[in-house]
Amino acid sequence: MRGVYKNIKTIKFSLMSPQQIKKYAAAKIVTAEIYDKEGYPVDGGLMDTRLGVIDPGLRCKTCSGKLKECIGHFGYIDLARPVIHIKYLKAVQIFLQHTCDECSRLLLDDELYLEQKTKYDKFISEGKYNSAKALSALIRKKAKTAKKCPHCKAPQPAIKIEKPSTFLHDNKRLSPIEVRARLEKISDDDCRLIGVNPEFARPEWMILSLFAIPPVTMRPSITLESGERSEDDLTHKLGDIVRINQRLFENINAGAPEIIIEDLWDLLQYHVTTFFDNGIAQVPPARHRSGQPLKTITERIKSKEGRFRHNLAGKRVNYAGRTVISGDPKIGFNEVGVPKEICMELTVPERITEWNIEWLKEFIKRGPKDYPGANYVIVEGSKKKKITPETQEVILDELLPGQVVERHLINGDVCIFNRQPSLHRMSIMCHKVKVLPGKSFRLNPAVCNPYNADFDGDEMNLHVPQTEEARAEAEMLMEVGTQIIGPKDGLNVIGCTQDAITGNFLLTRKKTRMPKEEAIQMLLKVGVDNYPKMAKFKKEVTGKEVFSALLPDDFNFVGFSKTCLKCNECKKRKCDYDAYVFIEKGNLLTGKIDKGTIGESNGSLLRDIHRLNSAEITMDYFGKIFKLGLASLEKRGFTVTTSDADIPDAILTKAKSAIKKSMVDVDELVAQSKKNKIKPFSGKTIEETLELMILQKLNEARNKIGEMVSKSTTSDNNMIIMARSGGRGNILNLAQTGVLVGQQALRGKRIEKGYRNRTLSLFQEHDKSAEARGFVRHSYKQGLNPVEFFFHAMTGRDSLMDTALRTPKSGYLYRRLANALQDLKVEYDQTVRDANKTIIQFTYGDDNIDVSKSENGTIDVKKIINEVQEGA
Amino acid sequence: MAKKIIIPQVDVSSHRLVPKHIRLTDDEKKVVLDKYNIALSQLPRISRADPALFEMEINPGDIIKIIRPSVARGEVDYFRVVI
Repeated sequence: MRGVYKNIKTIKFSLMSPQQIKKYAAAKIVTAEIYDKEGYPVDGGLMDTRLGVIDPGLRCKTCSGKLKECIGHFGYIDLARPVIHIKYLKAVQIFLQHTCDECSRLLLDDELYLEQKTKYDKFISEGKYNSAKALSALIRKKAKTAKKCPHCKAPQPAIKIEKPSTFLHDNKRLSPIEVRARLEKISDDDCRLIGVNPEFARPEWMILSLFAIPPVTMRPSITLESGERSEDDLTHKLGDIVRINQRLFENINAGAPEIIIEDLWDLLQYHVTTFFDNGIAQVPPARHRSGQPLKTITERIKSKEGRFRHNLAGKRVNYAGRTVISGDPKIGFNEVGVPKEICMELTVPERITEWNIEWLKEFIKRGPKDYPGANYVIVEGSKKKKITPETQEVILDELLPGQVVERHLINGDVCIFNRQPSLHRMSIMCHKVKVLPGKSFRLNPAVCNPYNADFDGDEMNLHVPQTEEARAEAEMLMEVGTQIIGPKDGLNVIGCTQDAITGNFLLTRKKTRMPKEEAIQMLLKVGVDNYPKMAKFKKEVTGKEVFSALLPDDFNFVGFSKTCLKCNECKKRKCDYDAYVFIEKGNLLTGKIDKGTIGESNGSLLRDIHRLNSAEITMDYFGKIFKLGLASLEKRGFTVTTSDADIPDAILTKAKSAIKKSMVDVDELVAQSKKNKIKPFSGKTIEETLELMILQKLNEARNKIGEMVSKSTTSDNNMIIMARSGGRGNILNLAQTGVLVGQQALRGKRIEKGYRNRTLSLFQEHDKSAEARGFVRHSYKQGLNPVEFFFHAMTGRDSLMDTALRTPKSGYLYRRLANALQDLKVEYDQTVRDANKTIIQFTYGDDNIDVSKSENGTIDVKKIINEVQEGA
Repeated sequence: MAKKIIIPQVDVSSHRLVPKHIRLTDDEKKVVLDKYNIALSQLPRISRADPALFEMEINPGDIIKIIRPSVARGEVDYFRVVI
């Protein structure tokens, strides 16, 4: 590490005076030619070697430094006629507006002038620069209103800017020469009062008479494969400037007519303007021959692809991989399956010691082509040595402790796994490598939730930490196990999903029973080794007992299943629906395990295990619960067919009549409205009221049917099982496939769009009946009629558009939010402050609750007291 | 350019969603600033044209104490400096 040898205290930005430009310049550029016939840079050309070097081997003529030693030197050209710097257009206008056209004095009368000046000087001498700044703004406001110069009484017509870069004075064009002459006459004191320190920025410096040529090092040319040289955009632009300037000189010297000179002058102004900014309104952007706009100074800095966001805020890294992800429930939550090809490309630097030298030698012997091998050896003080069949023996002979071997990734290596957009801290977590065949990264479906990943073609990134510190930090702070609880609400982001929930639900139902042998086999498959508990198994084992076998022996828990109806009086362990989950000393006595206890963000059981155990142990339990769910599903077998959406005929007829009735009701409502019998709700028109009432009627019908469906089908219907357990789908999905799809809504209302006063031309105008406004009375299984299908497609397209438009919007919203909040922190006095120590909140969140340590924003004090009492 | 300050026309201070706004005396002001060890400029701001300060006698630099209801703590004090 290099020490600090220069410490920056302040940075001062200022304008460059022509004298300064000349002083800093290493060369005067006189010709637009770049290279001579032999291909060497021309002296006095744009690639003059006095401006720095970009070719290896050459030396800079100014500082005699080689490539990368010499940072380059500025050059300059004399402009034949001055031009305005486009970025200072506004500033120049201010100077012209606030000073007299004739005598160039600030447009304040003597009394006011003196008053303001003493005030200003006082602020400066006291160091109150902000107050001085405010005063300048005030002075500018006062001076602007003057119609006549208080000193020489000359009238002051307004100075206008004619886009892009000319000044109009009394509707006459002011040439840059005239502008410059006026600015030169402004006194230093007046400059100060206007708000510019003339020591660093005389106003006339905003008009360019000398032009600084940036060093070659900031506009390097690229040699193409064909040996042709391709110049940087800036060099092209500079070439234009130099060429036009040259022509202007010649024309002036030859005494050409004024019109020609003016034209050339304007052209020079155009080139200088686009050199600084090629994106100015009313200025046609300068283009390559191919038609693409040139990237000049402003474009280099600005926006996402500019210097700040692309090069300074964003960096590229080595030791990283990216590929498609796919799921593998058999690997651990904290593992990531890495293809062998990637393992052979990404490496871990391992320092040789006398204890591991033999082990590492084997890696080097296998080389870069055999897995697990090594790609490079780093010897202190010399270059990285690539391991090849030729170098292999030499490297092995010279191998000593202290050298570093870059070996291939092997099982158990620490790595960092990430999916964009990284909105979360859980979007970047530490995993352990598991080398697998195939070409995709494999991850456990349980960690899809924190990454917000699925396997429809998502790609993810893998990074390999290269130092011990980085590895330790990743393991301690970013391991999947440490990220179970999300910081936004204290709920678990990792939990059982889909199959694992359905499996555990089926296993822990009351009626599940299995022979002892099967139970033990299942548990062993999952990796449970609680033999004392298994020893207690009787000949026939209930599913609850099997589940209990993987719980910790001292674990107590009370919770509710998803099926809990929230009865007024809880019957607790005698619950009719087996929804009261009660675990005592590691035995599941009552209750079904489902999404309510082990699901993502609902996993109260998982959180309790996590609270009582270390991250490592918790992950172990999580994995076992997950795998037990899968194992029980595998044993039973699980599938869904179309017949699962069959609704018994009795129910179907009942539902049909309910639909009919609600449609009749709607017609009735419409009829009533025609007779003006509808009483409007407060704040609503009659039409709106009618719409609301109809919507309510139709929703009522749908809910009623949902209820019917839920009660009708037997609990052996796999679709119902998934919906009840929370594994996938809900009753509404079933009702929509089996009974009716229901009202299609566009922006919270029935469908109104289409033709005048009607949705489709086959309806009458003002038809407000259900079927004319997007009510789909058929089910997906029955099939939709063309009109229904059309309405359904309308809402489908609408929701698709909605998601497509929302994503970029919310992304930008997040970016702004993150930038605004990034420096906030809770100080030692419990206030939330930003980097200026300005207070944002006097107590964190107004209640001092650390949500990441709460459960969904609240703290269950009763539960804590109970636990403490039990513990005592 | 400073924005023109529009004087509010309606008194909203009795609305149930508007928390109580109280002007602090100089002594109270000092207590607050000392407690958080800050200068006036480090406080959150409130416009002197804020509708909640309707017809209150205030000057820029005054501190307004806002008593807000809170689910977890009953009442929470918040301070803002008038600008």
